[in-house]
Amino acid sequence: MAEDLILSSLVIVSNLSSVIFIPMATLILGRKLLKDKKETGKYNIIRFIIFSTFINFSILVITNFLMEYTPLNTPFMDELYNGDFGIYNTTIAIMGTLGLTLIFYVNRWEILHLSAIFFFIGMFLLYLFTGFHAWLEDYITITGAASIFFLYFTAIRMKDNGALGIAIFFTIAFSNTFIDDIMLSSILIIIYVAFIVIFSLGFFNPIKQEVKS
Amino acid sequence: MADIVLLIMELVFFTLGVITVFTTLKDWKMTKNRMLIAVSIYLAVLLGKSINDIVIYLFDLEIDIIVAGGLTTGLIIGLVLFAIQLEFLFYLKDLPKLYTLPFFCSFYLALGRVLVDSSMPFIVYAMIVSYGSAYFLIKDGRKSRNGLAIGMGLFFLIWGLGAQFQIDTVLISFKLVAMVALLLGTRGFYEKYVVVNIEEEQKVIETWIARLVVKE
Repeated sequence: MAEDLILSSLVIVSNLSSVIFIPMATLILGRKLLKDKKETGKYNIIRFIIFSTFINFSILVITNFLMEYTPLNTPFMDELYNGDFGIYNTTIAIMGTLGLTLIFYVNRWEILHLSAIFFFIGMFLLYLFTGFHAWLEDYITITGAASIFFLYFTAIRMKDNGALGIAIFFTIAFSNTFIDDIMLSSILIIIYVAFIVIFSLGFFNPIKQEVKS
Repeated sequence: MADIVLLIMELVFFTLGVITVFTTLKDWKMTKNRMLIAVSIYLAVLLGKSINDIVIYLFDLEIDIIVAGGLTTGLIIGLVLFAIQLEFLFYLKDLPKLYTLPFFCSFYLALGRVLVDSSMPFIVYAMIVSYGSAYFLIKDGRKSRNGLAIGMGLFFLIWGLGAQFQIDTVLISFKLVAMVALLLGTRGFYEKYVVVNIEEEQKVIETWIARLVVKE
């Protein structure tokens, strides 16, 4: 009985904390992006990609929260959320795509800069016109794993805190999708929410050396 | 009878194409301009398609093999041609970030054709690529007085217009005109007679008049 209470409390705390703090972290990152634009006169593309990743993540946690704790869980909304190219799959796929895009930008592989985005848009258009979606799950797995691997690689090679932060965040968030245990999953959610807050406030600086511009 | 006419027209097109390739390669040897290599590759693929058409007219053979679903070898060649066309445009506009776009467009169009036997997406793509690249090439060519770019732009424009017709004779006629436009571009016709540098010309004339005045 007590164990059930702890578990349900943990689930509520993890969901509430993610739905509150992740959009807040997104807003902080958005503010930083605008501040940077005011100072330099143009958008910092790396900041913009990180901000877009967090926007996607915010959309995911907000819709997830609305689907689980509000009466919005109608058949139509369920299809919209859990469908083949529904909000859940699409936002995760976009995050993986943005992860790869970030790697290409940080490593300055110019020809590949937009290739992950082109691939994803192509896949989406193909789905719209033909209904073909067999590659989506594989795509999510491959881009997720590749993003994490290359983000660590990039973070070490370029001594970049941003890439390292996103790599840690992706590792926790991505591994959470494979965990069935509710308690462990909730703990992981709380951990990455805490990490996101630290990261977005700019307190995550394990590597002291700045990236050479 | 119609086939003989088509065959002759296709042979003329092929000959003009070969002359154009030789001209671009000759110019490339002198200038080492990579744009000329891009044009040569594009034309080489085009001539490959032309040989295919000549064989069809000559022996009445249909060598359009079905690969899978609605995807045929002819469509694959078409996709390769449009991919090169787009690459050429991005290279000219100096947009390396978009270099992978033609590859993905061709890949998904081919895959779409395997899944659904509809040529509509390919037609829409072909129209966008043809007219889009023609517009940018002619505009940029005029601005930078680059006859080859104008020639390529006119080639894409006339070819694109011709592709709208379903009658073979009309299509090949447009192809011929397009190749002539490109050949003129490679031979420096547009620089000499179309996009003349008026300021330079004026300077020359003024100097000439001034000299005459001084002499008098």
